[in-house]
Amino acid sequence: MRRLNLIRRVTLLTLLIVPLAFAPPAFANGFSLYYGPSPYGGNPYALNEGNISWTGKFHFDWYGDSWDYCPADGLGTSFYFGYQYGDGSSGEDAPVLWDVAGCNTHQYGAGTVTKQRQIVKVRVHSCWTNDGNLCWLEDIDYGVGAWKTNPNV
Amino acid sequence: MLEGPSTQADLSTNVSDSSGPGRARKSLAAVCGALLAATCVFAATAVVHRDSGPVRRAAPAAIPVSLANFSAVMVASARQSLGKSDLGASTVATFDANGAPLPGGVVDGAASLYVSFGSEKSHYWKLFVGTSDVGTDPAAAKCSTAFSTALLTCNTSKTGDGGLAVTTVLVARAVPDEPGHYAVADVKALTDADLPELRVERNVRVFHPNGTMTSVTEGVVGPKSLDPDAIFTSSASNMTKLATDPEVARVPAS
Repeated sequence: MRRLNLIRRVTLLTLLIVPLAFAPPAFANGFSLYYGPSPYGGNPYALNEGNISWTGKFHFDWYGDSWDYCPADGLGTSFYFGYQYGDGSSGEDAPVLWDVAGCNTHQYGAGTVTKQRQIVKVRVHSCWTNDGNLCWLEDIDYGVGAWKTNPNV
Repeated sequence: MLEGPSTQADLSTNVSDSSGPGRARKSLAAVCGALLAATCVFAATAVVHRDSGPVRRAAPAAIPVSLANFSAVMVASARQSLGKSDLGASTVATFDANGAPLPGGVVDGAASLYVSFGSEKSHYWKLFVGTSDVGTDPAAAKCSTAFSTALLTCNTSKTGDGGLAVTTVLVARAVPDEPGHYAVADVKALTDADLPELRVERNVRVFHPNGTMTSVTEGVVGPKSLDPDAIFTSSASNMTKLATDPEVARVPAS
């Protein structure tokens, strides 16, 4: 009986360890983008920050915070991901996180992105939101992050 | 091109819903138990990184269910006030308190909404109603010199209901290789050759003392000039009239 239990334990250990050993390692890449200004108030700025963790050729995990600082101007902040794929094409998603409530607020979020094509690299694009448009204006001077290359591809 | 849009509602659920990743972490840790303690602690904490939970602001007053026909009121007001008989079909979009689009444009529970006409690829109008983020002090709203390179005009005026109207004409330029995306333009550096790449918007944003903000926008893509009088077909006064229309401005405070 004790021998049977030992076999069961070894089997369980094997089932747990083998998948972990062959799972792709996660590679983390942080981003922190200050940008501004907005058209309706003085000295405004915004911040998108967070992290990307590569979990395979086709997917990554992310978490982030989108901060809309003063003034309260009706505008908000958001960011989306832009991609370069293994087949040479590029693409982008709709905004994945936004803060539309104005002064000194922020919004936290996290998620997993999975694509049908291999993701060679990804970067963050920052936007101003306005009246329900989640990417009314993009800040191409300060709001575009560095490419994060997928080490699994 | 946009692909597979993610909704923030889904993401928020991921983070804040205790039956989501939090439960996944517990389950994973429980399964691993003492056998692989160190590895499992790493795996469990790697499921979702977080430094703090989402900051939830006080939810603005939802648009009352009794005003479920509000979009129809907005459409009628827009057609009348904008002085255009050919606005075309209208589109209604609604949003929850965190700005997440509500599926199907449902009004019940919405904290803000807009009605739009025309095409965002050429010529469009939008009437937006939401909660003012200057609260009940319209004087806190400003016409600033920020984004000054892109502003053709900006002025403020008081409205009859004690609010403040901020009227801007702002020029944006298409972002190369990103269809539908625009960035701030430098109007002094533009030439006629740039006109096809531009988006010009006149916006009248009225901050009402009841805490409501109404916004009326007319946008033209690829204008033939940068003369507002030649670009827009609706006058600023008509746009202000629409933004201060009592039927529009009373939401969501009524």
